[in-house]
Amino acid sequence: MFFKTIIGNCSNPNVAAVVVIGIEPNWTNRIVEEVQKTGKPVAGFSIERYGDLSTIEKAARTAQKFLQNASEIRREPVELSEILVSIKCGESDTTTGLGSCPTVGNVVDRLIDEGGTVLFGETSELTGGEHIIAERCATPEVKQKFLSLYQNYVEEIASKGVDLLGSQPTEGNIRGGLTTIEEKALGNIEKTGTKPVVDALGPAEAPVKAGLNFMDTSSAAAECITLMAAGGAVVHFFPTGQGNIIGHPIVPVIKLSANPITVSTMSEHIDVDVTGLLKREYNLQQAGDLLLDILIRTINGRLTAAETLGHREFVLTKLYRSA
Amino acid sequence: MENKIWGYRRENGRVGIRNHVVIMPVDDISNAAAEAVAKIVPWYFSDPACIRAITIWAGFRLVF
Repeated sequence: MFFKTIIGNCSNPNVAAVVVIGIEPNWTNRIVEEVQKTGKPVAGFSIERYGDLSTIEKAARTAQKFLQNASEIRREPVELSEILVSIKCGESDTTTGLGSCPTVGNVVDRLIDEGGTVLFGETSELTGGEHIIAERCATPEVKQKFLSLYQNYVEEIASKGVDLLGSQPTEGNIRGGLTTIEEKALGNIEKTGTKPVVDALGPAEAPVKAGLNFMDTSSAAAECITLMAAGGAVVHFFPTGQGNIIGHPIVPVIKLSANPITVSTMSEHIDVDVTGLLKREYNLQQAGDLLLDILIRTINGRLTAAETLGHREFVLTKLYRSA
Repeated sequence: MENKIWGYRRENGRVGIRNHVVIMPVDDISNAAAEAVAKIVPWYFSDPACIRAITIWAGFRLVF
């Protein structure tokens, strides 16, 4: 899992080139060799028998060259269907399931209609709604794969003597008016839209089928986005209710909220205000238009709120997964 | 709404929307060197490229 996550993030198409620095050569080279398969420039440096100072000088000289070369790479016209999008919500409240998640669901459906690919996950937070996802699986094989991943995760949590209800809904969710894990799951699932689930992937696994893909991930935001980035996602939709402020070092995170308090008190963190949906100023399709517009502008280079504020949360999945 | 979409097509055909040069530490004790490299090479935060040092704070022995 560690190597899959690191190698996947280095291989992500948002990354032009990589300098890998490790304490010893074997693990460093293992990452370099895997990332080389993408064809991008990559170099590894190990600290043992050189020390920090010598390593820093060599790595900085290489980084300088990589940066100069990367600065000459130009954007070119691409298809929307080539943009791998991931989705995960956080600090959910009653506005999430009614406003921001359905808005994401609207855009997810439209992206998939264009031939695109979208990743969703949060295995443990599907609890109470897992049967809905199972019924949307495109084939009995995918359904079996999904249910097996789900069961394994839930059993792993239970095997540690932990009750998921001890942390779900979270304190932030409860403050925002959510009462049960089932209620939270139903709001969460709204953001997946209505299309069939074409595949169920392991953590950090790259999708091979176009369409809506499930990835077995933690429900902790930074850990989830880091795994999806390792799977190749290049932009992320993050619906939030109470105001999660997350970003990621490699993947721009587009945050949207339908909570008027969050949008007015934490405006610097919110890329798309969809409060008008709940005030009935516009309909779901129009809310989707707002999000799609920001998506395209972000793809074309507009910086997200998280990028401008320096949010760069990168979290590895631990040996014992967080519930 | 903007309609034209512009991205970075990589060597393997995949499309990215940012042009980062990443300094990736393999373990927590390499964080200091990775961050030092990112400081030496001044990065700028917009197109076409920027340097990003990723920091691994978790004890790496726990994550295998």
